[in-house]
Amino acid sequence: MEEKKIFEKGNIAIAMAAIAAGCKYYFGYPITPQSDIPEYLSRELPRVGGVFLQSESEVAAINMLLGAAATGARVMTSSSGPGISLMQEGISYMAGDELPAVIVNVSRSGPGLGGISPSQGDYFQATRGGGHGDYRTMVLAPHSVQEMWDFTIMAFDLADKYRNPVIILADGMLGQMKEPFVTRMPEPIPYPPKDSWALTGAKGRPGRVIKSLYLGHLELEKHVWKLNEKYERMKKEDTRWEEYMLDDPEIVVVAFGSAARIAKTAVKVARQEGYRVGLLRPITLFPYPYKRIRELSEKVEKFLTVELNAGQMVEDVMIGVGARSKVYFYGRPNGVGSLPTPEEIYNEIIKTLKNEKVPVNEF
Amino acid sequence: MYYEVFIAGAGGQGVLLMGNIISYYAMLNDLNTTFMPSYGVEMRGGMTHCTVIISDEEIGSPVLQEVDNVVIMSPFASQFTTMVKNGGILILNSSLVKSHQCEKENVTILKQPFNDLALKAGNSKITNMIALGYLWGVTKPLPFDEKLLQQAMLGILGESKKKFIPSNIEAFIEGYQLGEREKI
Repeated sequence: MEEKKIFEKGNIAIAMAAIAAGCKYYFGYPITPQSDIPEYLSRELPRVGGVFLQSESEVAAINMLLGAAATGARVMTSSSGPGISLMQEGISYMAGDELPAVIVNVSRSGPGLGGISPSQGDYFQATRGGGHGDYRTMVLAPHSVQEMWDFTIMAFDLADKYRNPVIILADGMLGQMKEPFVTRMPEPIPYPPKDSWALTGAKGRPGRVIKSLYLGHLELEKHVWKLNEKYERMKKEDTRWEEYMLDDPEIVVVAFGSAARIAKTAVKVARQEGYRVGLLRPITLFPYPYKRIRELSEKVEKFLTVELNAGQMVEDVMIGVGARSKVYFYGRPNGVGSLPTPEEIYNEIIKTLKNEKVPVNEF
Repeated sequence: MYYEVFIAGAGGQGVLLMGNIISYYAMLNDLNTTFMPSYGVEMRGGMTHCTVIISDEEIGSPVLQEVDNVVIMSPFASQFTTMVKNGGILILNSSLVKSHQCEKENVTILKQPFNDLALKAGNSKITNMIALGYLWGVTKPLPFDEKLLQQAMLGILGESKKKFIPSNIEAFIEGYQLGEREKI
């Protein structure tokens, strides 16, 4: 694909990147704030010989995704909060079946029907498996329209590398905002060929079965440990994060996605005023950069977690920090008008430095 | 280099188009830019606004609490006069916005009857482009270059609407000249 600079919404960047990554099949059901993705793909996928299918529900969409993924094709669905909840059963099956797919959550606020404003309330759901059973999905958290493009392409590679669903966790702000981005192809991530497992018709070879049901003696335990080996490999090989102004910090702000973007401005202003503040932005939410947080906690006394929720990722920061440092939290859960400003986060940084906030890890 | 503007009005007035063109123009100048829209569920008439930021550095939050430059195109959106910073510029479409309240300090308030100006030119659909030109003339986000503006309009409107670009440029220039004459 020719590299071009484009000015478009985050949602469109995801849809365009899916086609650039070789995704031929999309199944989904419209929901705000991600409907630009199916709208774009309904027009463009048929033009590249692909299939766009609007299902009767998210439950149907995820099972169609499962079926198409089983053939070894690159497949994607997208939804938001309530729709992603409906998909959880299918995602669990896909993890058990070891099927690669990209699932985009342009999240909105909840619980329940909640609202359509930007939120990070789906962090636990995305990073802890979401559905039933012993499994994980890899989670990528973009914080710009360029990353909506880049990470979508990476997500297809990673899904194929691990034969596992990969979730892109964005939100209404990243989906709806426009920014220039370059239609570049990121460094490809090598993945094994699919011809050893894909269901392509058994002509000239024995038939194959893709399933998640294991009833034999010790059979399921063995399968779960095999899945777990992949999650351990993800931790070793594909934990990603960004460090911003992290030289000799007195306090580390930890934030992902939209919150990280707003926090970056606050950190920059605080640095300009002479405060030793830096930002750690997890890019993969699973696997989580615990190790880097641990290293930092050996030198830094204070960690301030900023999220667009009432406190979810802060638990991962606490795991990384252990008992070495103090963890503080600032959250603005969902709802119209509740997006924090850089000034607000700046004030929280200063309050934390002046010991005016209570740490959340002092029990 | 840093510039920010908040434009608000009613759906159908072309408020988002104004913001889109500024952002696209900034991209053509190799600058970073964000365009953050908000609109109601209605096809027309709902409250609509957008925030545009341009910078030569990485842009943090695309949403702002207070903004240097604010344009209000409709009385429907007059609540957003509070978005302007102390010392900022507030532009009102006086064809429709008949009264306003703004408690910020040292704000330069400029009123222009954009709808009337467009009607006088014989095309009510260019109201937003006169307003955009005026905003540009007053606040000068970037040097005005007609060829680049053409390219930006084409980028946003697409080939199918290319034929409307000359009349839109003309309207922009009318507004621009009006804006340049403002002494602030």
